[in-house]
Amino acid sequence: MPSRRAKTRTNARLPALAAGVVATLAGVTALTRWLVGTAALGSMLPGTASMRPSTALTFVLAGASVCLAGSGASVMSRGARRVMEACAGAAALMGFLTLLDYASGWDLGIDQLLPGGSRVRMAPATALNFVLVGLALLWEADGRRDPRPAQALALAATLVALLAVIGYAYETQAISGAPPRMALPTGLAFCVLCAGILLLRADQGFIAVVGSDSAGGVMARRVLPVAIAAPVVLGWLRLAGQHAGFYGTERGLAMFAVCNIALLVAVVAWTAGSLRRADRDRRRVEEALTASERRARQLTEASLDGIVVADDEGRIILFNPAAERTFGYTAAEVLGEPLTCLMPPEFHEPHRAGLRRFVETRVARLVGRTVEVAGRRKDGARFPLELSLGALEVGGRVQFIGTIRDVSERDRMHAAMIQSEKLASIGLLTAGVAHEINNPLAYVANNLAVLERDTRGVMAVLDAYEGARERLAAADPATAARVRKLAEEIDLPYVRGNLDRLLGRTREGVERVTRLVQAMRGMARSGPPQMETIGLADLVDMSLEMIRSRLQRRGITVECDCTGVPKLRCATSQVSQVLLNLLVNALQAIEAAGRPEGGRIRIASRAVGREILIEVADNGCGIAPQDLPHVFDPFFTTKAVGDGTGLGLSITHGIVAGHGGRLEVSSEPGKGSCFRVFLPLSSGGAS
Amino acid sequence: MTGLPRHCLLVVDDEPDVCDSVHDLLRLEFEVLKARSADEGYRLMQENEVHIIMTDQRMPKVSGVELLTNVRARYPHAVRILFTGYADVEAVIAAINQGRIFRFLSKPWQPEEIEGAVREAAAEYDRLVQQAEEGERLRAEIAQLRDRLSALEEEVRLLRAQ
Repeated sequence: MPSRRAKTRTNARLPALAAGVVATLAGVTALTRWLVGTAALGSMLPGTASMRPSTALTFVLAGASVCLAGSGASVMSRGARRVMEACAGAAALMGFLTLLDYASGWDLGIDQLLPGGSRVRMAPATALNFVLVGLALLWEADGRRDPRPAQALALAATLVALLAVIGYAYETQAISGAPPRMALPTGLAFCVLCAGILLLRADQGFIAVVGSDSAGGVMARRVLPVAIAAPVVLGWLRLAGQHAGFYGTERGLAMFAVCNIALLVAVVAWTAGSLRRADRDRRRVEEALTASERRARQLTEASLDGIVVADDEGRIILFNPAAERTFGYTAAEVLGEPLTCLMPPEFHEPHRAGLRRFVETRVARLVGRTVEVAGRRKDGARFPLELSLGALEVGGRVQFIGTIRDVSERDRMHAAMIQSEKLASIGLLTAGVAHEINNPLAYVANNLAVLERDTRGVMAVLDAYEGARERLAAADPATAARVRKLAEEIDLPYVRGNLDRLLGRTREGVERVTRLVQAMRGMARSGPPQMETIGLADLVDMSLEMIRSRLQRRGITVECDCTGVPKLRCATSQVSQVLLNLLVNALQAIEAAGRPEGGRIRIASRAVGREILIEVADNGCGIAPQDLPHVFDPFFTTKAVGDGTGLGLSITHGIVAGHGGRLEVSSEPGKGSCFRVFLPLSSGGAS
Repeated sequence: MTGLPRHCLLVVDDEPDVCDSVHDLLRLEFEVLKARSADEGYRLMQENEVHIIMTDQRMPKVSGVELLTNVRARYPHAVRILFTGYADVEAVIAAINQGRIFRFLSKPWQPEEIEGAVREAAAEYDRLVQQAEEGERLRAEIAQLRDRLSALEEEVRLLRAQ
């Protein structure tokens, strides 16, 4: 996979290649010139030496070596590397032998290698430079080595070459008798060649800073040209002025120094100014960044929603306090752990697959959306949550930001609200029906009483006739026979015996309907109930008093723990009805279970937050799981027909809801049930 | 029967079945008049000496409370009973404050309830009437005494004059 570093390198190799080509061409041109022997092409400047043939030949070798390094891949093929090493080695050897030649005073006749070569050796400085350049290129043959030695060698060679070039600029002619000097073209060619070597790996070693976009790079790019060019130009001007006779050596030097100082100071001041601005901008950016970071942290810490950030492997790297509260883990416990520890097991595999898919293909299914999924708390409890998932790239890697909202409370409230609304609407309907039934019921009950009374009257009359039957039979046998026949047809003795039972049953039925209608009317109370502040123990006593005899008859013990509970503001009669309903239910459940060892009802109460919890638990028959969701529904009853209206718990629920509280139930069939009433401490009153 | 003249009861309800039912229940003990509206009730009260008036609260046009309030102004001795199928607290409060009712019954009632209430109302009526008679008798006696006193004073004055 390509890295940034490698990219810089390929970009920088083209100039290196160009420099190599130029150096080679310089050598080739000089050789050609020498071979053709054209005097016109003798030297670059009139009166200066031209490149010697041996030098030209060596340049061709060195230039070819740079070309090879600059054109190939970062790691060269073995063959190319061999050729490059051979060229570089030859160039270094050439220089070394020439130096040896000078030092020993022997004449090895290197210049004789070329056909028709004159006895003109390359200058010592040139030979030295070829040694330096050759060694540098030999080092660079392996592109993986530290580039600094090669760059140091190339820089040294540049300095030697510059000495010659600048010397030519300042001197008009060579001092006769001095050792041979490096020719001007040779010096320039060396400058180009060394530049090529430095550019081979411009992004590494000493010169990397020059090309970098850092403050150091900016400074280097600004100061270096001035630092190199200024002394050269100023020195030339100074010499020129001196030769023209404007000033003497001492004065000229002073002016040179002053001008140098002024120029360098100016460049440094300019650079320092812009660096300071850059620095100030950077600090401002840093401050903004810090502020932004702090703001982001604050937002994360203060957020009411849980925020979890994970890396591209699904490991948690941020876990805010709300998430700690939601999941029950501390941040320290989960940082670095996989996200799966926050999910129920069945989500693990889809999560891993989704994560892999997104990281590899960036195809989002959940990212950028809000979904309802399930979470897993530290204690293993499962809960519904709302998840908004986002992704961002940091340093080429994906991070996931999940915003999590625990919706179990919302779901519970929603369910409770639906239940309340259902009960309220059913309650209204029921109350309306009850009112409609009331009128006919009133006269049905009445008429029944009338019927009973009048039937008794009729029977008395009949009895009186019965007494006179004998005399009637004697006086009017035909009528007596007709009476007897009619009596037989309707089975008079049975009718007389059955009449009381018939009327009694009917009256009982009507009474039951009446009770039912009255209970139904209770479901939609009108007018605000009387609110009082009362201790719970008094309320419980009030309710217990009403069924104490029934409890005693059944041998049911009642434990009551209502101490230390704050007083309650409520509609006393209603709340005592709630307790009474729950007690009656408990009693009936115990009767149904038939506990010969004795039933037990436990009433416990405590403050829970801003609510009071009243528990009424029994060891009765319990409620079947399939019935549990319906116990608060109106007319739902499991009691025998006629034993219950199915409205008790419904009314109880309505009263509790009217007080701004809630009613919950849990039950284990065969073991008992527990009803929990939650009432707010400062009830806003029934609505 | 007791031999005493029976009390007269007026039942007002827009539902005739209710009137009939109450009539049948109480006809042996009381003389029961039936009215299907407040207007008919007023008419019957003018034509008969009604001792007890019993009315439903919810009727078209005139409500039970209004009817009883008017009756109270015209026939203060008639004992007033209100019944309704609605546990309507405001109606009950108005009935007590404006109509000064004797009893309030809620539908559906048990026959014993209504019998008891009407019997008590009859007793209340008797008590009121007795009270009124007593007052009348006392007033007559006082007037008689005053007459005798003035006659005696006259006598004394004549004797003094002699």
